[in-house]
Amino acid sequence: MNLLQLGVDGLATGSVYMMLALGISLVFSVMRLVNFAYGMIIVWFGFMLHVLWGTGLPYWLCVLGALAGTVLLSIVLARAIFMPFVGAPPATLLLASFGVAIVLQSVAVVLFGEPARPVQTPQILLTSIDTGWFRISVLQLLSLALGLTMLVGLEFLIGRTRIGMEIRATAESPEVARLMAVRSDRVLTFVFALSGLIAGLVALVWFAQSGSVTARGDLAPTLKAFVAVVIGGLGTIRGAVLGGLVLGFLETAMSGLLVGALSGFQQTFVFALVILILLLRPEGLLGKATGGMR
Amino acid sequence: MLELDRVSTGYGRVRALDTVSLTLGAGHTLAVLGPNGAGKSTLLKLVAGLQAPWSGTLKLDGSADLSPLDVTARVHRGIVLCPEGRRIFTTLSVEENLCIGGTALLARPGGAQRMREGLERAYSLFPILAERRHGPGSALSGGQQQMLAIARALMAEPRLLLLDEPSLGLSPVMADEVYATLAALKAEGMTLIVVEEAAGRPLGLADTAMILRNGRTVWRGAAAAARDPDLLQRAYLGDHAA
Repeated sequence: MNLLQLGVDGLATGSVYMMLALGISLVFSVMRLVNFAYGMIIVWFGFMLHVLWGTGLPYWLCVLGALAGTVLLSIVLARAIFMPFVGAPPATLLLASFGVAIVLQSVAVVLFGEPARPVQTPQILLTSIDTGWFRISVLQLLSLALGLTMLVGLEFLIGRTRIGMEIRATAESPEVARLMAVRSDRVLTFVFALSGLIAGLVALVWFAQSGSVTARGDLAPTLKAFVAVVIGGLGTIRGAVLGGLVLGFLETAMSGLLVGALSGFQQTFVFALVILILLLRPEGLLGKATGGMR
Repeated sequence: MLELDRVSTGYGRVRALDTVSLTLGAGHTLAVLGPNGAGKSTLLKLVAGLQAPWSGTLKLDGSADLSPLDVTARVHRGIVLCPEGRRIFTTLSVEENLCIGGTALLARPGGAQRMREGLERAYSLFPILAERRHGPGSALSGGQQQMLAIARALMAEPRLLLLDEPSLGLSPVMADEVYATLAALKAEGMTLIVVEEAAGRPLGLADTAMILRNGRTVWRGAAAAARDPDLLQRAYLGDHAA
């Protein structure tokens, strides 16, 4: 196994998992919502892209449209379902998100049926570049670029802007922020919009990899996101980065190391390691979040 | 400025305030005293809009009924609560704490300019905050955190400032400093309600005082008259203690 190749693949996969984790972590940081409907938002991006492509629009317009649709879906879910539960116990929020996931899935099954629908991807994304030391696909490059841009953008947005300051204040103490006339409804709507945008961007990469979307395809992205935030710690940018990268490298290493009869047990080994990490560090590798993704 | 008429409220089925009335004129300071659990904080929450009344009326400026206004709307009307235990944002810098305090200004004309002026005023009032402006709120001492909590509340340009136990947990020197600041605000014409368990400092500052016990008003009158130790003892502990 080429170590350099393993590093490149791990980093690219880790970048995707990091983005997944960021979207979930962001919402958790401001309202302690563990959003199990997140994977379905990603699936819905896939269906929107599938439908838009059918209209014959150019690819980039389809992507923009699906991104806008995903952001809108996230905002509607937030305002109609999640925000009325602000201040409810975490278990209530969790159950609400399960309900949302089931509804989103049922609607998808009714509209699109059970079989997989194709999600078109430009050929350029699927071509590989061989540098001589390692091979990297354009899609992997895109994942890395998206991940890096997202990281820098979020760091700036949360740390340096007015809305970022309000997000951090709301995350640390929603009731005191309210006392200072911070409009928590606006902050939460913004955070859900951002989380929806992240879901859409990561879905773009996700479905380009698989080439198709199914109504029950939400489990994998939801699970990866949760494993990543559980490893790194919920509610911080650092936690999402570390958790995503660790999970990406673990998976890549497992697929390289496990050969023959063992190759089907990649996920088993990954989860065994995750359980081990949690036994040693129950609050994730980086410990508890202090507030607002910091 | 503020008028409460026979207001009752509570938590769940437990009554915390029982038919409490008060009148507070503009520029005046009211000290609300009483033992732990008397309903003092609940009274402030009621005025700030964090707690809804079960019965009775709250009026601002003679006519406007406060009940339909939520916390944010009341901040915009000039009612600002400086909460118990300071509750500064420890993950935000000192200056960011102040900027969050000034959120209400941004909705008004010239908001950004007023925010800058507010920061300048806060730093001239509390020079230590200017020194620590870029440091995290968590790095401040207890007294400095109380200064920041007051400065943060002032950023919203309150007409009626509600202070919940501003001297709690502070050294006597620090507590004196906090009350010197409050006296300066009073001299500028601000209307204050100060809640404290310890009577000495607030009675030195206030024009009028009320003493609560078990949610009821047991004494109301001029602050100077409340400085009688016998009166305080009876009011805090009940008549059988005297």
